Amino acid sequence: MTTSRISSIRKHKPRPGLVLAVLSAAVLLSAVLGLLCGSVGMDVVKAARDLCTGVASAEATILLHVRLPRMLGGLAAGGALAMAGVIIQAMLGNPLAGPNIIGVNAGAGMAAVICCAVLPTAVGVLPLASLIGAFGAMALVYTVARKTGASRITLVLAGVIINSMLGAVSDSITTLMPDVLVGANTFRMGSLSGVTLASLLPALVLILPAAVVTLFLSNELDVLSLGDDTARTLGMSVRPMRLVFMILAAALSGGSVSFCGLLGFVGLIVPHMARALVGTESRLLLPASGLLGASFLCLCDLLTRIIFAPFEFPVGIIMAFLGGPFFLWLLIRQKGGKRI
Amino acid sequence: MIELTAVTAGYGGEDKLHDIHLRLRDGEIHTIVGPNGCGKSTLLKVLCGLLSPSAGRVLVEGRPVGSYTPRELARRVAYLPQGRDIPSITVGRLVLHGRFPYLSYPRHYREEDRAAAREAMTRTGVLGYAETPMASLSGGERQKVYIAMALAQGTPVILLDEPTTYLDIGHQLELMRLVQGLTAEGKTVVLVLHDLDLALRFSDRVTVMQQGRIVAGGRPAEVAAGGQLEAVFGVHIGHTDDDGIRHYYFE
Repeated sequence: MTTSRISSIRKHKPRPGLVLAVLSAAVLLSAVLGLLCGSVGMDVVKAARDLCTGVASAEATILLHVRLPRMLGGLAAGGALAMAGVIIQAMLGNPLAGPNIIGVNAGAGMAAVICCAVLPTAVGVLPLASLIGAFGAMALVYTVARKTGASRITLVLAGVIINSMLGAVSDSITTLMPDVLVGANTFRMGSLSGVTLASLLPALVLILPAAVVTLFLSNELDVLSLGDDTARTLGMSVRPMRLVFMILAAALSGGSVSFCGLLGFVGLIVPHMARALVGTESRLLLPASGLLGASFLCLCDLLTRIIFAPFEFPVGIIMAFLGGPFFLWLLIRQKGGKRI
Repeated sequence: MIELTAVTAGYGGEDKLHDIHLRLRDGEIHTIVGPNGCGKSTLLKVLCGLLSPSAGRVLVEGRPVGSYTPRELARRVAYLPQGRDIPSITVGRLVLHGRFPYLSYPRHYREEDRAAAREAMTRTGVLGYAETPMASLSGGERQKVYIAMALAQGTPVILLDEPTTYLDIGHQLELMRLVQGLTAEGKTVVLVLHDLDLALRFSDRVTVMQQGRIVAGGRPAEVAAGGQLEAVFGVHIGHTDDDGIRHYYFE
């Protein structure tokens, strides 16, 4: 390799510290905007003052029970799904994988629907049920990959089929028992409009520790992505570690699905966007994806609230509109996807 | 250092190795040769604990290989497998992961790990590529990076499965001299090679395999003169001596 070629590659490498700082600022900005803006105009300063002084007002109620949980939900789900995407892509060695593509979200959704049918009042159990569903789906896809030695494309196809099967189970239940999941369509498309502190807090109990542990194990994720034999000869106990990552991905995806439904695209495209910014090493990619996913989803949700205010539509739609073309552009820019 | 006694091993109930007896001595280049599918790579996997024998025993530093934790074993034996995917990672980071067996709380590499990785990259001539993605390198360059990762592991035993694949003749010789340097430091290097000339010229000991069995072994000159090598490969082996270096040719 010539020196000039190496230099040209180096030139494209941004400073990771600066990128992470900018992304952190973007998260803060989107959080503030998420509180300030909404489908109805209101004096946020007055709402905050009312909250602090204990004055019951419509503004205070909207801020505490609508905008705050919605903003927190957007940040949590965006960050969690993006980090789950990084884990899944590394574990399967497949850049086309994502929690919504290979059925992980669908598994979580199916479990959530079943939980709503069996335990309609136990909202706090929903994230745990989603985790179990997500883990089951991921274990199924992974087993198919291992047993068949499937190629990358075959694996994605298998994931799409599992995704459809699990989705069909959810649809069957919501069709036969319409009361099980009010707003089933919104759940399928993914939305933050129904997020409450009651639905969010149990999910955060799953998501936040899972995110911290994932960041802590970034070197392990890199080594695992080198292949089983290499990981073992580098001293990793591969099976237990893979199980840990499957549980982490399931907790991140399942926790998100439990309160915002089947949000697509975040887990697939945000890791790719983050790779373009900080490279491929998990120690940078995981935090960058988390921050980017958080701000991306929060801002997309903001758009759903203000574009057609006072009406709004599920954030999943706007993410597809924004994320789809971006992903296509990324594919074309990177020499027909060869570098992905 | 590593000793195999009556080892039988294979995959899915089908044995690929039969009754293997082998002793690897410290500070030697030990090369395994044989036709395709004779069990060379399987033997390396047994040596590094990736594959458990169905019969016989493998001792590493006098202890059964199965009694080591993966981390303990990784500090004693480094293994470069034959075929690898191209990971989405930079050269420097990949080599640094060679220090993974030494990673402790808080799961971050220390300065001494970075120094070991830098030294390994310097020895293999890939330090200039440290920030380069693996996907941007040629096959030969990637091969050298993987060897650097094995060196960074800092183990007394290094197993290299066909390390000269993708390397041009100049880099092959460079690699073999690097291996000689490692054994001069007391390390044991086990190679699987298809190039018989390199195997016979640079090795301290050569083991010849055929259909999962060891059919010959010893000093290169003994093995070359013994006739088993010619029988296994179906070739005639000749040699010329030039300035004290013996070159082998095959016809």
